[in-house]
Amino acid sequence: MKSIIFYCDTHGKAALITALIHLGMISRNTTTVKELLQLTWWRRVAQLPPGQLLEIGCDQQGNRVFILWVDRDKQLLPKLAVSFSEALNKETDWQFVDALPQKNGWINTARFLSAIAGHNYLTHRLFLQGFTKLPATAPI
Amino acid sequence: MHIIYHCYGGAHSSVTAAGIHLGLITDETIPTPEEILALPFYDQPKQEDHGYLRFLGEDQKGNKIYIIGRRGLKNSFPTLVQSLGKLLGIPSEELLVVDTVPYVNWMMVLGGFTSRRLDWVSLGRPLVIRGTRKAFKKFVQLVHKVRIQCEGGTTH
Repeated sequence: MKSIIFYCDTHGKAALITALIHLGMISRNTTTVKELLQLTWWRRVAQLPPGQLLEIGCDQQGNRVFILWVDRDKQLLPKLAVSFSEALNKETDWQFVDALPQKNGWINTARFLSAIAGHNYLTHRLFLQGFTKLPATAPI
Repeated sequence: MHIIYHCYGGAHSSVTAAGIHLGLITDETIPTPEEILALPFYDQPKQEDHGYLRFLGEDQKGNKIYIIGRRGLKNSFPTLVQSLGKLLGIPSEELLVVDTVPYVNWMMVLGGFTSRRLDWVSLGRPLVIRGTRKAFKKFVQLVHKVRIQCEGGTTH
């Protein structure tokens, strides 16, 4: 059994959606923005501090699925995790997956507005709108 | 105990503090530029090395000392280390994360940027070494605090 960690730099939003797609709880092709807005997970994700792992569930292979977000430099996370386990001589089987390898205008607008006005319903909705418009090339 | 000294690039302040902690450099006098430059990894890591945790050695009490350049992960780094440690089965009291950036002066910032980012080593290195010497006592004080903290941590 391994641990799969979906990570992002979007306050856990992309990581959560990608993790739920991986778990088969939502579908990448058919889920609408309205359905995404109704997810009860958002309250928990809003309280998740950066750098903190949150376990979402177990997939069909029995792998534990986590989400993780950081403010910036998310590309360092896989390197950090691998070198961390090696340096501490701890064997582990974990896989880090970038939940948002690409962005679009909707997502960039949501991020820009979040940076200047904070997180609110508009930025949340814009982000989700952008996520549903991404090409179906999720890393899962 | 695992003690992780972290800074932006893992090339100067974290290396200096870890070097003091391990006794690789004397903490009684201000070291010479040659002594500072002789510290392992001092002014060496490049951008592609950021994010790698490096084991530097064990101190006299058996604590393991590490350094890392964690770039912009500053605010989330302690939480991140604790989270990963928990997943690896390491008790949180066995991990001590020490930020060395508050003790960095402008000469270290400018010299470090010039040497590591711009790759103008001949210009940046003398400046960052000068800055390190100037801030050296602060790093010694930091390491002293860390030693006290880990003694308290291991006696529980």
